[in-house]
Amino acid sequence: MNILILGGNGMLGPWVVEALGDRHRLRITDIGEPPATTHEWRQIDVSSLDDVVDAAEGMDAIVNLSVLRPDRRVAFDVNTRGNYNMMVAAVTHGIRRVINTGPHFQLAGPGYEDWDFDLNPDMPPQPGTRLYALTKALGQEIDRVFTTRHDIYLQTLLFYHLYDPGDLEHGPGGSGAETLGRDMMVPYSIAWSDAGEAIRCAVELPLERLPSRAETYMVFTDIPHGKFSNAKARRQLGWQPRYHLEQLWNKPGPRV
Amino acid sequence: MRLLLTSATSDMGRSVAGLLASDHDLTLTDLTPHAEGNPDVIACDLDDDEATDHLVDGIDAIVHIGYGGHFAAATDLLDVHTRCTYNLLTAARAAGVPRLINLSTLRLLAGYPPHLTVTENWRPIPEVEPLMLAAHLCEYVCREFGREGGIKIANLRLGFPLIEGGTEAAAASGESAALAEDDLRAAINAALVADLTNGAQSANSPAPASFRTVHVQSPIPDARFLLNGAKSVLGLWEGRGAA
Repeated sequence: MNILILGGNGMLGPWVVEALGDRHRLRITDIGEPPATTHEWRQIDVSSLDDVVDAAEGMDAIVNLSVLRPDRRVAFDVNTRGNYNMMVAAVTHGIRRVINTGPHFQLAGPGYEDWDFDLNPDMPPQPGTRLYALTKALGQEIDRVFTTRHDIYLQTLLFYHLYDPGDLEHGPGGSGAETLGRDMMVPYSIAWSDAGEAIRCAVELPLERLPSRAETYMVFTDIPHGKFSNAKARRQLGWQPRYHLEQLWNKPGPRV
Repeated sequence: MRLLLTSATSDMGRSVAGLLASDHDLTLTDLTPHAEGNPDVIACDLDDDEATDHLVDGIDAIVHIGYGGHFAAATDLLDVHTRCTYNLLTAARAAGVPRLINLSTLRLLAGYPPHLTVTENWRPIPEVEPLMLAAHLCEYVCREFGREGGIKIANLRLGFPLIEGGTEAAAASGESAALAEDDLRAAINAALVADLTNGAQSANSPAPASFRTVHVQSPIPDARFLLNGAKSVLGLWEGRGAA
């Protein structure tokens, strides 16, 4: 499969490339500097419609990993309009498979997370007004609307905290944030390589197995909190986490 | 009431300004390229900056053109109806502006067959063309602010086309979703003061719904859209319009 990766040189990109690289022909794109790679590379701005449409030519699938958080203008340019550009590119080139990614709270915002349990990916989105959440939610809504009018299959994978399983004490993404024993830092966590593997599963899932043209998955390792549910990702994608990150929610010391 | 009207130099903005000018103290604003050459219009690009903060200072309510403003390329349309709306609402909420009226469109529901009894509880089914998609996303942004509270938002989905005159003119137009200008004026004026919790399931809650969508077309026989919300929320047109 010929796969266009948007935002391919961010934090998740290398793990997706590792999961897909031996099995598919990749065209990696990013606004930043080129990675060290043997795959095809293009420097593009996802907020440029022309850039994205040009980059999608000849592709069979698009994987969108692009994200921008703090700056309001750029957050809307990338997280919202970037999705519009991606879907126009898919329509232009007849690409039927689109994989989108984002944080879990673009769907399960504080209106859910502060109150409820068994939160699952088939709930109606309630992102709230937090910039990152709302801009990504708008992007997903654009994608969804396109699937109602075109023969495009959208799969959205929602992540949050991503860890190096060999270095949990330095926090998600090696951020240095204190994690161990901090409840709200734990409930939605995954190892980088497991996240890349989940995207591979979505890329390779036969389209005829998808129940609809817009499917969403909550993707995190098995955590016994009952807050969120990753059952759909396991069931529909056939994905299984390799790393369980149990140190994040087990007390240190011997069990009694 | 001191009102701020956005996209004021657009055709829709000019129509709305004309309808409200005699009843309110209007502050007109538009993006810089459109405001240039209009000395009565404040140029503001609705960025995340002090200019937007200053624009909403002292305003009693905002009338925001969420559809039918300036027609532009997809990039600009999506930017105005998502980012600029977000900046406007963020500034308004911080400044304590109590209410915003988003003027959206019933075209978001035009895909339903006309024999169906479409009300505010029916899901919008926008097209992907930028004008409709932008209107849909503008509603989305407004809804999330309304969900959190801190500002009351009336989302008025307007009928089409806009007809000069009163209800009789709309009826005579032959358009089943027509909206007469006199009816639009009545709806906006009602939405500026209405208790938006009227008829809401959360009406008796200490924190009732602060976002309501209301369908607004002229109350003509065989109207395309039902006017349940206009009657229950705005107190308009009881016993009139489509049954």
